[in-house]
Amino acid sequence: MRTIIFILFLSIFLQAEITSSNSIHFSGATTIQPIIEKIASSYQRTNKESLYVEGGGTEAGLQKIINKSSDIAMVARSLSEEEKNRFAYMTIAIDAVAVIHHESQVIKNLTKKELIGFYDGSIRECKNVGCECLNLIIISRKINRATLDVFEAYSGLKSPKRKNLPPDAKLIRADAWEAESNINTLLWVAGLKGAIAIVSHAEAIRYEKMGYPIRTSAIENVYPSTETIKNGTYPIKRELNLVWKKENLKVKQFIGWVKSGAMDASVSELGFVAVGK
Amino acid sequence: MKRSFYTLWLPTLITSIMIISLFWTMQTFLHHNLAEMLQSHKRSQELTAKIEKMVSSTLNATFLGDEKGFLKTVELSNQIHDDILLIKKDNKYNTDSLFNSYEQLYKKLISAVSYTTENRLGDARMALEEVESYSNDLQMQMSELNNYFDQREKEVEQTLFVIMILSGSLLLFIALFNGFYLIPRRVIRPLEEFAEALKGSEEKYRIVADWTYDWEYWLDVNKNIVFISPSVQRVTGYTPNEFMQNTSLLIDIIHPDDVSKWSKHVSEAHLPNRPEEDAQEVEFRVVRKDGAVIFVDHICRPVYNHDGTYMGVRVANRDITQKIAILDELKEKNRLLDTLATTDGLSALYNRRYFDEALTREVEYAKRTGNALALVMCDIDYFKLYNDAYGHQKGDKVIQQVADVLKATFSRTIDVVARYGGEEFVILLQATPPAEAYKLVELARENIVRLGIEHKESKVAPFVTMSFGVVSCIPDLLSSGDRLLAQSDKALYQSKENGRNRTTLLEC
Repeated sequence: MRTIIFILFLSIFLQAEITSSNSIHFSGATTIQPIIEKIASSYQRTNKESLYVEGGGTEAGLQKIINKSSDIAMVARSLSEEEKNRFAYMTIAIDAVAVIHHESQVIKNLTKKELIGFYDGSIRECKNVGCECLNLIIISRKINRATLDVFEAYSGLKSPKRKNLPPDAKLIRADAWEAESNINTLLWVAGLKGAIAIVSHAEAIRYEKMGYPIRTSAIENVYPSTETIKNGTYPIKRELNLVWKKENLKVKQFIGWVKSGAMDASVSELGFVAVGK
Repeated sequence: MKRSFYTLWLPTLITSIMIISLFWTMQTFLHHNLAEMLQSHKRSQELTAKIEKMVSSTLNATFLGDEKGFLKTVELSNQIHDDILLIKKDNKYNTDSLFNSYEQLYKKLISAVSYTTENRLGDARMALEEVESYSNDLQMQMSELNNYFDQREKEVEQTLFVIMILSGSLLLFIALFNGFYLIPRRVIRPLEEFAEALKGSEEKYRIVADWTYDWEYWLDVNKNIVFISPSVQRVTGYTPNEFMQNTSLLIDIIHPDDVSKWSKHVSEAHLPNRPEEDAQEVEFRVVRKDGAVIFVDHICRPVYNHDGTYMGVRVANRDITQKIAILDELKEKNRLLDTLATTDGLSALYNRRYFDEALTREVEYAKRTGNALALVMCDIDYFKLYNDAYGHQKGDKVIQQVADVLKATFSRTIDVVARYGGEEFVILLQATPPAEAYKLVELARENIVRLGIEHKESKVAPFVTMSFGVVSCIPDLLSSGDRLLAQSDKALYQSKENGRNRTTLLEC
């Protein structure tokens, strides 16, 4: 085991070494990360500009453009008015927040009440999800993740990690696991039979197609899809935005390229709802 | 035997079956338990390898940046989850701590993956350190789990051994208890007592059989001698052994003239399916070993055992030679007595008693047949004078001589010649019409004269003569012996009146 872990350390070190500083640096929501990664190579070929992408979550992404350690923040939620005034931004897609579970569970549909029950801890047994498991594991997200913001807005629950919460705030159960990225969420659910999580719908679909044992639940009998997201019947959705500092001219070429619609196909291919030019 | 079955064998059998069943159930249960445990043990041993494999494949996929590479991670994680669940279910071992450690390991491992993909290398390093920590923790718990299984396996094996020893001891105890206590007490002793009783009973029956006076034997269904009493030697002169060695001797000693009678009896009586009480009897003669012929009364009947199976023929032969001789003698004496009762002692003719019976019988017969019946009455002329002149002895002699003549003259077997009293005689002639009767009587009278017995005192002739009265007719309804007698007496009277030594014939 020790040998294996050493190799991983080495791989991380090597990855760190190969990153370049002469490029457009993306950071933030891992939901948007696959989009940038998908277009990176074609963009680099045509624009002689390399793209470097890292996750870290929406809030971390925003923080990084403020302290200039990143050029573009990937924000997987709607921007506040203040943010809209402060930063330049571009909405590139609409995504849904899907509720996913391990395939051994029999959940097909959840009411909003049931979903809240799982997350506030009032439903705790494996039998409630209809599978043989050792623990029912509720997977939430870190507070810097936009997925959590969107989920909180829908459910009315708040992460207990939030500061300055009102005394009567309804909280997500304290022992809920807090995932960082989408892959983090997806692999936890896929590897543990009692897990339920909230994650990017597009990422969930992508992983499910790769053969991971995860399934998406309908919410109030509506499955997330391009259609239900577009027509608004699926209730938990969010904007995917690229945000940059207005004075950062380095990103001008890239934004122009995006605005030309060059990215829309990739957005759609990845399961997001493109918003167009 | 039936009693010992319920008091000994059945309880022993039931107890043994119960012990064996109990042992079997327990050992099956424990073996099943052991098998489950061994399987869980195997699972737990494989678990360590699976966890290592999972971490290895995860790091490998991370290193290669291969999203699909985590499928192996997920698959192994699900297997580990199920294995821990099975260990928990099979052995009631508290796997909560184990699973929590595993969950934490997996959680941190995937976090490390996540951090790596987000290029948060510091966080990834920290997560991996925690993975290593949980890995060590898991190793420890796995070791504990394996020790637990080792211990439990030993316990189960020891329990099995104890159960086996206990069951074996119990069975051995039952065997010894039966062998040294119950069987001698409930089987051997009763059997010995039974054998004693049987021996006594057998001896008693043998004494009874051996001391039987008659010659007895028992033939089985194949006609072999099962038993023959010693008295056979007294009866036949042959020993029982001679018969046992040569069964055909039973037939060989039968008198040749009686063999067919014997064969007929055997073909009818020595058969199965005849009622037991149906005794058959036959008399035959036997040639004894010393050549003497004896008479034997043979009684036989079929014998059946308690369930009705035919067992052959039981025979009792009694020597009745002496009895036969006595019976013959008795018959002779009876015959003599009969003769004496119906015969006149002096003349040897029928006496008056016989004649009276014959007269009544013949009158009735003649009435039925319509034949003529003749009755002759006669006496010696001046016989009193003869007795006086010559003495009674000479008189008796005359009577005998006259009787002989009459007997010779009326010689048909159906003729009855009787001395009626003193010098008077009566003759009853069946189917003899008057003329023929007269002729026969005349012949008799002449034969008397021809005797020429001197009788100087007779007034008829110097020799003995006789007068005859004959009556002959076909009797009618009114006829009777007395009437015939009266008529013949009347005819005799007329002969005497007319000068004696003559015959007078009258109609009825």
